[in-house]
Amino acid sequence: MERGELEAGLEREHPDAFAWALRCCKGRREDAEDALHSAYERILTGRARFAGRSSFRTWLFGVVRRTAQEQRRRGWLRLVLLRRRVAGETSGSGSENSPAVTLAEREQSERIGNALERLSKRQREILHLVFYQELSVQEAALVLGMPVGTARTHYERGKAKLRDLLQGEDLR
Amino acid sequence: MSDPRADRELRELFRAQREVEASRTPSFLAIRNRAGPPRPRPLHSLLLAAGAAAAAVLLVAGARLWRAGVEHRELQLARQVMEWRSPTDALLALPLVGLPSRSPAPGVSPEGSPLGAFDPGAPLGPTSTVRSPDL
Repeated sequence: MERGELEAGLEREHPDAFAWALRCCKGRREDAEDALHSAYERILTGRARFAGRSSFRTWLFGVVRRTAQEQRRRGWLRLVLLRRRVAGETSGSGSENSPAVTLAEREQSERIGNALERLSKRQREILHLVFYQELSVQEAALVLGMPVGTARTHYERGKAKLRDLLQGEDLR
Repeated sequence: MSDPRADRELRELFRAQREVEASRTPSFLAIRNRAGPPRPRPLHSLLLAAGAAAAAVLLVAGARLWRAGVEHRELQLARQVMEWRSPTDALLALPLVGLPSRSPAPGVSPEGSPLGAFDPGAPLGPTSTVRSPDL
């Protein structure tokens, strides 16, 4: 793929890639932005090459996931969390919603976000990929680097648990 | 296994989450042109490694010195314990000290005895090593 094509592909997938990076970084925006920047750099400089074995989107998600993992491993050396915490306290969270988002949507988003927090990492990841990113279970398995059968098990169990959590919340 | 109605509800919830997050997503250019995460520079890493090595050497040397001090004190204490004699030891001394500790046995000369060892196989009477000349 040419650089121009790659850039266009990245720009097209950018909102979803950011949402996925956010999941891979446990909701930390600064880390997600760093991971996504590193993933883009890796792709645009040719250190990560798209071989066409899967869709561009699936491949991009795989690169983002691996980059976020590597970044997390390097984190202890850089003491980046401390730096960010200090910076975050002084510069504000920057998570204001636009007026276009309704209160109901915000509440629902918060509700699903809280329920997802209580699932295992694998279940959370696969449910995000299937429901939020609208990938198939097979594609999600490719992104997560696991057999389809395992992915399906995580998917079914995660879905059942998520439903229980949401129903339990409704009864309260 | 899969309930379409429940799946639809989940999809609806995820869609709401998607809407909320889309409004907060930074632009593609902002992310692409962002200054990357600070990388550990080689010099920093080298200094960090040197510092860690120096700290480890100091720690080991300190531990060895401390251990040597402890061993010396323990040795002195052991020596004192070994050299200590009870002042009442003399009261326990028996008058029989100096006598043979074993009873005499045939063939064995008690230590310090002026008598020779008794050999039951030897001929009785005085023995002479001088032989009479043959006639």
